[in-house]
Amino acid sequence: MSCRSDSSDEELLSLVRRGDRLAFAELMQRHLDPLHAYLARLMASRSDAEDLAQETFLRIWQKAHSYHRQRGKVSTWIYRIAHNLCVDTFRKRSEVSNATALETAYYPGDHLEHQAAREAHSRLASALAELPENQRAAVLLCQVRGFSNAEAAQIMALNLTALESLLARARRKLREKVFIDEGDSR
Amino acid sequence: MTEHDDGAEREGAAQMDETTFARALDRWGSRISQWPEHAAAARELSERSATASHLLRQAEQLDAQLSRLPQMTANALVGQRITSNLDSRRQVDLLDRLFQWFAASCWRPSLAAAASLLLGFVVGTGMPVAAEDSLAEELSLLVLTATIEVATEEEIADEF
Repeated sequence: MSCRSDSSDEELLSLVRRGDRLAFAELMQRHLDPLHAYLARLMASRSDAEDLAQETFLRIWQKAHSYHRQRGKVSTWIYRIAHNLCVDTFRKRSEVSNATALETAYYPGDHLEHQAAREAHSRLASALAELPENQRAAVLLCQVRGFSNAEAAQIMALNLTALESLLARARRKLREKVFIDEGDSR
Repeated sequence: MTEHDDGAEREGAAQMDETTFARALDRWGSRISQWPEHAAAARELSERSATASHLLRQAEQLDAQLSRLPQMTANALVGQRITSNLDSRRQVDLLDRLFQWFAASCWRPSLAAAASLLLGFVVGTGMPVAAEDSLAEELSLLVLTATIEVATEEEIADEF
């Protein structure tokens, strides 16, 4: 089997298991940016996100043999590895990061054409940053990365009810923050 | 959809109010068609209730804003750092896998072999040395036997 851009993630990972660097590079090209974006928003730190993305992909290379298709999609497995690394990092670190500053650093503003859209983005970024980490992870996985509730529960090692409870609390807080602030500003 | 499902759906529609609707929106998001249950009831409520309709619009706006969050691309150096570290990780992993394989499949027979060896060593070192290998021990046994015999003759003489 040769490594092609139309190969499935499962096919690529089975090649990675045998030490195929081209397959690994293809897998990395597919998942590095979305994973980095998830980690950056969850950790609210660009340097943490880069370190964790690097460690995640090195573990994929190292532990490719431990993936089993029965346990879910490759992307779910990858995010599970990344999420576990995040949890370890949260346990170790004590300082509070500034997610709003992170969003501004990434996007100085000229990417958004209208002032209103910039403000909406800023409100949402700050509301996201204020969520507890597990609620933020649930929202980012389901709403931003597009995982189903069941897949997100698998990534976060929770049962479906617990995941949906996190999502409900997170959406309620976001809605209150975004729309009430929006109402206040008018 | 079966007749039973139809019945359950109608029952859900009758039971759903704005509070239940808001709770379900928070739990499952604004795409009602993807809800695992009560989808028809929710659609029906959002059409007839202004409050439900407003809640749905807000949820749709929030979901849209979340999905429009700009993509944060990784620094190109991250990819380079990853590929330059692959070799060291694979070497570590080979040792790790060897240990895991040993730990998973070979520890029982290895433990049994080691225990047998240890037991053999302990028993072997504790056993007396064979007679033909030790002249001194043979002589001491002979002396001991002779002493016992003499003692026995003296006892017999005393008796008579």
